[in-house]
Parts: sequence; structure tokens; C-alpha cells
Amino acid sequence: MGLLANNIYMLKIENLHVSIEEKPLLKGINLHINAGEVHAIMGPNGSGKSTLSSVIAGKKEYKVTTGIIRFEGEKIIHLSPEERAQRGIFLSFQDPIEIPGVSVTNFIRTSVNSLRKARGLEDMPIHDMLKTIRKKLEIFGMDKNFLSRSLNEGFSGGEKKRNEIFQMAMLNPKLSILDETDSGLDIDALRTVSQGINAFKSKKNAILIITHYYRILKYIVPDFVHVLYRGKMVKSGGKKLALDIEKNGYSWIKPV
Amino acid sequence: MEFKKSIVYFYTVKKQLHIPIYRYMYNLRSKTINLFETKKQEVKNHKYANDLNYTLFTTSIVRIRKLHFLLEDFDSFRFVFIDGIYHYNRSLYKIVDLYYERFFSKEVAYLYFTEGAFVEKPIEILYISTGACTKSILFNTRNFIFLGKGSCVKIIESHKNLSLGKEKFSSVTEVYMNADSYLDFCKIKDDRPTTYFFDHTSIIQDNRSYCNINTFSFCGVSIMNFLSIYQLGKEIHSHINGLSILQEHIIHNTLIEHILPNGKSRDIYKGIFDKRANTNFNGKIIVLNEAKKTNAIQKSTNILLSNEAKVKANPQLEIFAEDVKCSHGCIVGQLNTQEIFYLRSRGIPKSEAISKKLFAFSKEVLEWLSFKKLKNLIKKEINKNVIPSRNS
Ligand SMILES: Nc1ncnc2c1ncn2[C@@H]1O[C@H](COP(=O)(O)OP(=O)(O)O)[C@@H](O)[C@H]1O
Ligand SMILES: [Mg+2]
Repeated sequence: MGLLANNIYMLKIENLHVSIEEKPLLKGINLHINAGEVHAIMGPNGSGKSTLSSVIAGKKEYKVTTGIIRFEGEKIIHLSPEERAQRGIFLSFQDPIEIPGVSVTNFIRTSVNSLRKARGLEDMPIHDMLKTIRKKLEIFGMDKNFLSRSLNEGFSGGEKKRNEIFQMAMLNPKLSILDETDSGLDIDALRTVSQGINAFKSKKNAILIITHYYRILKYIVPDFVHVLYRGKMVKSGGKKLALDIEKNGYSWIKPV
Repeated sequence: MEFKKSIVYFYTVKKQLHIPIYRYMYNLRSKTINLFETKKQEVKNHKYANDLNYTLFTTSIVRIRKLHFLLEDFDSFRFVFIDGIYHYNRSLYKIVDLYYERFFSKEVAYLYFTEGAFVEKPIEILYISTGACTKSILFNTRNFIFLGKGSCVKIIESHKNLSLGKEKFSSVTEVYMNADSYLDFCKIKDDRPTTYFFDHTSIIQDNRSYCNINTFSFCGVSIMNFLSIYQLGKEIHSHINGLSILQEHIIHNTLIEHILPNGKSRDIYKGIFDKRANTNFNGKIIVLNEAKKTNAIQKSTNILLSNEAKVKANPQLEIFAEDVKCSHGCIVGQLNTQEIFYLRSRGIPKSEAISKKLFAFSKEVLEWLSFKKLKNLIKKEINKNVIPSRNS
């Protein structure tokens, strides 16, 4: 089993084509991510980064015209967003939506227990839940009173991003896709959040960072960097690629 | 006799007796009150009579085995009417003034609260139709509620139809609120999808009284809620809230009339409509010329869960006074798919995500509900009504 598991990519995307209303947005994406790896996808605005993350998370507005997405060997395109989350996929949204009337605590409890239920576990006892919540809040430098607020409602840009990462820590996913987590965070916040993410990172999970700036990659060092341009992966490389982009922009990378 | 005078006063101050229907109602009411006064004398010596009077009529012989499940939900003073007859045995408490009226219904919930009365538990009025009297196509129920000065009361009214027939409940409620009184009134329309409800409620409020009326409409082939409030004094607060979760037909007609200065009203109706629900909201606020410094808010917010559901909203403001604050608005929308996706992306199943969202939507109304157990029941109701049809 161990041997076999090593041969299976955690995430394997093959020749993925996605369109919305007949308009092609992704044109043949290939991406392989192993457990224990940190990948970064960079690319100018509008190149399809958020589209790719939403498709992995299971957003149905986008139409997958061809291609396969496998998670731990299993094809997942037909799975619902909740089933994917229950298997261990997590998306930290670029623009987390405000959900009035649903408190952070209520939401996080439902979410944690839904994942447990899918694994055949009982609800987490309230006492344990509160203890875990408190611990994670501390890691990401967050105030306790935010628990009783409505989810994302009136949160500043930075608070929204922290809230996303806090959820990641609570749900303990196998694959975390962090879509522009650094935007909206000031430099101190970025440092705290990055430290939290680094502490969370392990041999068993993988992280996909999506960004068009280099700065977050200073804190969370990627093993692989990919460049997405107009719906295509035009270049892949090591962490040095990110530095080159920081220095020279995207224009030197010619679409293949 | 003071009681009689107050009611007559309330009534004549507002309506003119030269209009035939008003005269008819006036006469009817006077007769009723006279008879009530005599009955009251009869029971004066009874042990409960010190603070609250009652008369009982138990003539029905209907046997109901199914009933027990209805009777365990609340911790309340409960009055049960079965096929229009008050049931002493089924009712948990007997602190009511009941009056026998032949004109509209067999028996009437006649609640009279003396000055300063404070009723700790909610009073629950439960009307049950067994279908045993197969002829009763139209089932009339009537509440007559009088709140003495400074009294404080919570009332829950609901209807149940145990037959499989197409029952029609026609319910008329009159409430007279004396100065400084407080009323929390909750009406629940939740029966079979074949049941009709016609509800006419009018409330007359005196100085500084406060009423909070919650109307919940969950099931019924056709529901009409007519609610009128007359602010016949100064500094009166009226809160009327509605929550409808339906797949059928519903009409809300609300009227709030501000007559004297410094009145406040808040009129919030929320609706969640599925399938081929068809709904009308007609909300009217009238501010008469003496009613200065009135503060009135009216809002109707609706979520449509299907493409066939319809909402027609018709908010009306008629303002004849100066220096008033009034606003009204109406929103009709659908569930935000982005919000649902967000919740689902955290592993929360679709049905639960929707129910969470709908419960959040209902909160603005539910937070005015002071009955905790009822709140939980309504939460269940939201799940029950919305989820099965949405699970597809
Ligand atoms: N729901 C949508 N409807 C129409 N076009 C969309 C939609 N979502 C994204 N797009 C388009 O797809 C392209 C890629 O967008 P996006 O994935 O958000 O890019 P990035 O995250 O790299 O900035 C853009 O041109 C954008 O306008
Ligand atoms: Mg983006």
C-alpha cells in the first residue's frame, strides 16, 4: 500500500479544458502535485488562475469540456464540492463572500463536523472544538470576538484572508489551494500567516499557492513554480522562476 | 361595567355607527358583552375567580386518540378547542373567560386580562378540527382578547386539522390593548397542504402599549392574513413580523394606522417560496395628520427557490402629518449560489448549506420571537419545508 501510494500523485490534472458560455478559459492544463510538495502558480491578471482553483474545488458554473482531474487516484470531476472537501481539498478564496446571519463559530463547527461525519466519526465534543478554535486563532493572531461575527461580513480584506487560513487549519485538508492569500495582508500579517502555513505544512499534505506577486513566496518557499498565461501553462520550473518573474515581469515568457 | 365601556369606547371612537355593518357588529358586540357580564357573576364564587374568571362549555363527545402528539411541544397555559368546542380536559389551564357566541363560531376564546396582570407562561390557543363533523366546511374560530392597563401577555395561536378533508379555518381576532400593556402574539399557520386559512386580526392600542405580532405561515393551500393595527394613543409601538415558507398561495394584507403622535411601527415580512408559490404582500401605513413624529418602517424581503414562484408586493404609504420618518422597501431575490458554493466547499452538504442560509435569512424575524421552544420548532420547520424539495 505504501509503495503504491507513493506512485499516485495527490493531484493529477491532465489536458484540462474549461469554458464558460462557449468561451474557453483553460486550454489544456497539466499539473501534478505530490504529498509534501509546495507548488506555486503565477500569472498576470485574467490568465485563469482563479478559474483553475474553482474548477478543482468543484464550482459547477465552469464547464469542463475535456480532461481529467484525479485526487489520490480517483477521478473527481463528477463529485460535488462537499464531496471534494470531504476528501481533503480546500480552497482559500481570492474574494471570500460575505454570509450574513451565519456566525464564524456556527459555520466552523458545522464544517468540521460535516467532514468528520463523512469519515464516519462522531461530532467533535464542544469543549474540544472550542479548545482547537482558540489554539488556531492564536497561531494566526486573530481576536476571539471575531468568532461571533457573521461570516466575512464587514471583515477587512486582511481579516477575510486570515479567516480563510484559519479555516484551513481547522479542517486540516490534504490539498490546500491558496488563491491570492497575500493580497490584502500587510507585511506583519503576511509574516504571521505564512508562519502559520509553514507550521501546518507536512509530508502528508500539499499546498498550491496562487499569486501574481513574489512576496508570499519569500516566506513559503515553493518546490515548483508554474506560469499560467491566457489559459495555458507556459512554463514550469523551480523557485528561481519566481525570482525571474519578479525581476523581469511576464513579457519575456513566450507562449508555447 | 368598566370593561364593557372600554370596549365600546374603543370601538365607537374609530368607527361610525351609521354604517350598517358597523352597527351590526356593534350590536352583536354589546349583546356578547352583556351576556359575558352575567356569566361572570355566575362564577364569581369559584376559587379561581379572584384574579381570573372562567366559564366552561364542554358538550362535545368527540374522541381523539391522535391528539397527544400535539400537546407536548410547549410549556404553556393551553386552551384547546375541538371542532369549535372548548375542551376542559384537553386544556391544561382554565384561567380564561370563555364566552358562548352563536353567530360566528360555537365557542370563543375570550381572554380578559385584568389591570396589571402578568402571565408568566405563554397562553396557547389550539383549534382542532377532527373532521368528525363532516359538514363543517368552514370552521370559524374567534379570539376576543382584552388587555387591562399595564398587563403583560404572550399568546400563541395555532390550528390543526386532523381530517383528510379540505378544511377551511376562518379566524377572527380582536385585541384591545389598554395603556401600557404588552402583548406578544404568535400565530402559526401550519397544517395540511389542503387546508385554507383566512385570518382577520385587528388590534386597537392605547397609550404606550407595545405589541409584537409574529405570523408564521408554513403550510396551507391558501392562506390569507389580514392584520390591522390602530394606534389610538400616543407613544405606541407596534411590531409586526411575518415569516412565510411556502409552496402554495398566500396573501398578506397589513395596515398600520398612526393616529396620534410619537408612534412607532416596524413591519417586516420575509418569505421563502418554492414550487409554484404565489404570494401577494399589500402593506399599508397610514399616518394621520395628528400623528407627528411617527417612525414607521416597512420591509418585505423574499427568496424564490424555484422559477415558477411569484411575489407581488404592493407597499403603500399615506402620510398626512409632518415631521415623520417613514420608509418602505421590497426585495425579491434568489439564493446566492456563491454563498452556497462557499459553504459546500467547506464540506457542508448542499441541503444543510441551503437550510443554514435560509435560517440566517429568517433571523431578522425570529429574533423578535420570545418563545425559545417555538424558535427550535421553527428551525425544524425550515428544514422540513425546504429541504426535501431541494435535495434533488
Ligand atoms: N463567471 C465568469 N464568466 C465569464 N467570464 C469569466 C468568469 N470567470 C472568469 N472569467 C474570465 O476568465 C478569465 C480568467 O479569470 P480568472 O480565472 O479570474 O483569472 P485570474 O485569477 O488569473 O486573474 C478572465 O478573462 C475572466 O474575465
Ligand atoms: Mg484570480
